[in-house]
Amino acid sequence: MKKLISIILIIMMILGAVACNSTKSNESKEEVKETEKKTDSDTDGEEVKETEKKTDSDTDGEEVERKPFKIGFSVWGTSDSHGRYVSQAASWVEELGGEVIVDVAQGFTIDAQVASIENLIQSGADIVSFCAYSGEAVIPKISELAEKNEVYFVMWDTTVSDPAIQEMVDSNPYFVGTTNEGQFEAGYETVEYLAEQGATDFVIIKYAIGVAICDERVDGASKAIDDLGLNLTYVIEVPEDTKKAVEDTLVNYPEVNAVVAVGGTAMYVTPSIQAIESVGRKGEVLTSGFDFSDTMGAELEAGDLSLVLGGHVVTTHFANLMALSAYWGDPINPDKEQLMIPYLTVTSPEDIDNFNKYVVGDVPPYTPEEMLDSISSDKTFDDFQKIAMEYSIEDVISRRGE
Amino acid sequence: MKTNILRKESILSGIKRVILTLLLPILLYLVLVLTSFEKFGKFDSFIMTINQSMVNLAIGWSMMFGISVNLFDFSVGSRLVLAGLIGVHFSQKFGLLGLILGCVVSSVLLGSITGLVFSILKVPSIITGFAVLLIFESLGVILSKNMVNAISSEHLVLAKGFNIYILIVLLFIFVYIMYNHTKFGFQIKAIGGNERVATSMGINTAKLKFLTYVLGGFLVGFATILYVSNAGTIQPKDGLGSMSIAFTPIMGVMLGMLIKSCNSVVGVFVGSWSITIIGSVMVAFGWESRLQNVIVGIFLIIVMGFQLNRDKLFKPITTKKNIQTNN
Repeated sequence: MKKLISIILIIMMILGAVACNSTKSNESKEEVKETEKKTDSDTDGEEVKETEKKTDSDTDGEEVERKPFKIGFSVWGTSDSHGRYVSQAASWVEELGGEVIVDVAQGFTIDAQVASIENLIQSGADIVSFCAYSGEAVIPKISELAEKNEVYFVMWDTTVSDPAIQEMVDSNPYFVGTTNEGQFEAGYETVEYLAEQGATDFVIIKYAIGVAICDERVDGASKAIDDLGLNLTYVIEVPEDTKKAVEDTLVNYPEVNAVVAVGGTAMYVTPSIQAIESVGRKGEVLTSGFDFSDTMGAELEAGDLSLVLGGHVVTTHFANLMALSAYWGDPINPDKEQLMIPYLTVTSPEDIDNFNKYVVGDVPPYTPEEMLDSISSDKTFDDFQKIAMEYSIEDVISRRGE
Repeated sequence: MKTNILRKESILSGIKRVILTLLLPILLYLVLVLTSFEKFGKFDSFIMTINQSMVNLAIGWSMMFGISVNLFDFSVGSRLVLAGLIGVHFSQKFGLLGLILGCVVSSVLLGSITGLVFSILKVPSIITGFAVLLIFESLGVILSKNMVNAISSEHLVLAKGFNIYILIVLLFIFVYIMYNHTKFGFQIKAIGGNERVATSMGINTAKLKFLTYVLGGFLVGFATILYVSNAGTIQPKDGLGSMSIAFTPIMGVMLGMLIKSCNSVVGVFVGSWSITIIGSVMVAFGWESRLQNVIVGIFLIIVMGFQLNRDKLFKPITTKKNIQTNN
């Protein structure tokens, strides 16, 4: 009896596997046909785009064919507010007739990020969208994967400092472009703002090692410290116990009167505030952070926190729009330039309420019409850049007519 | 006269034990004082190093029972994070009581679930720990997506001022009694000594091991309260990130259990305190903060190597002393 059941189960498994395989084969064949149509037996990137454009023009006249899409979105996590918000913003484009699959990479390592991209490609993504938070060394591997699987890829919140890597991705026909913020300027402005509040001796908390964004923010902050004749007293790197690290620093360097966390407000600034209080220096040491947190409203109100830069959640939205335009055969960024995204500066609880209501509330800040218009055929990259740079809470309020 | 001599010897032996116990942290603190008397000569700075070790001490005590029966469970951090998030969530509805009950009750439940998986499925403790760690981390992420992760400052009082000492002293009394003066404590030590012998003595090892998970869960609950109240926040972790929460406390426990001049419960305190001071020494020297883990790792290897090879190291001296005594 057991043998019989085993045989039946094995046969069922084999039949199931064969069925799945044949379905997949059919799908693959269709995909291959579609790809062949797209690539037109040419491997050169620029020419691929030309062919696509022609095909689209032939079928729809001036109109671009907006075929359904599947975007694979890889993120470090959705537990922190920044990760949650960028994932939310990434899904705004679903209103344009597609699907966004969010995959949380299991760890801040290159391997984990590559595995995440592989999973997304396996799940049938037409486009992969990611941030090189594990370091830019991850980019060549993902670029290779995307080219091999003929999947478009776009990077957000990413700085590529190595010219060789930049050259490599630029030559990939499936690379769409990058979005980024002025990290150096943001670091610089943070120090400037704190200096205006009376800060003179700084401690910087780094949230990552070997990540260009983090390094650029630190460079900007360090430059401002130099330019303004201030002191950079100590740099804390990726502390396990932030409260203890800040306590130790404040005891060793009593002259410190400003703590700047260049990322992870919730993870690094909140414990820093506790540390400042525990060494009896509440009100004497200013703090600032990058990326929004759930507690920053109360901290700003209590005067424990001076400034937070963040709210650049649209970085993923514009990256996805850019990728979609390429996927639909009418790339808004044919030269693969870097699209700059502005930061929102938050210095009061009211700013946060408005952000929660107008940016990450129930209604996306851009309507489907506005999204399509921003990448329409009559728009250039400069127009697109202008739309991105106009992003602010005031901009959303005015577009909604409130 | 003889009684007086015996009493004197007993007092001297007690003083010697206290000195030997506190020798390591005191020496380390002296390094700090020598680095900068102005900064570390103050009583406040001394107290700060003790304060800083409290959270790791509480986590260390929660792991001590498990380690005593050779259970290596790296899920402690993930349980702490999940219980902390539940506690924060409950604090928003029921205030401080919500935080306390949310942390402790959920932690006991999570500890019990881990213990049940281990006991029923007979999966090795390390594997069980990793498996539940992945589940609890993911649950923490899911939970945090559906809640506002913010705790009111008025609910952080348990780690402020004397409150942290009151909580730690109460925990110490509880752990000390459980470890040294209960049947449960004796039995887990017997299992730790030799499980086969303990089983042949009629000790239900499976049941005892399950109970160490439950008891550990109860203590992790209190450690969670301290952790949240101390940092003012608890952030969900994924991708095995919660494991790092357990590393420093484990080092404190290992170090503490090797100190022979005192009870293990006190030893864990000494171990945790010593590890904390090492971190402070790094900053005092102005060394790159990433070097701290390197130094702590090297320190641990040296201390454990010394402790485990002490007999071999001192054998020539002891033998010589014995010969002289016999002569």
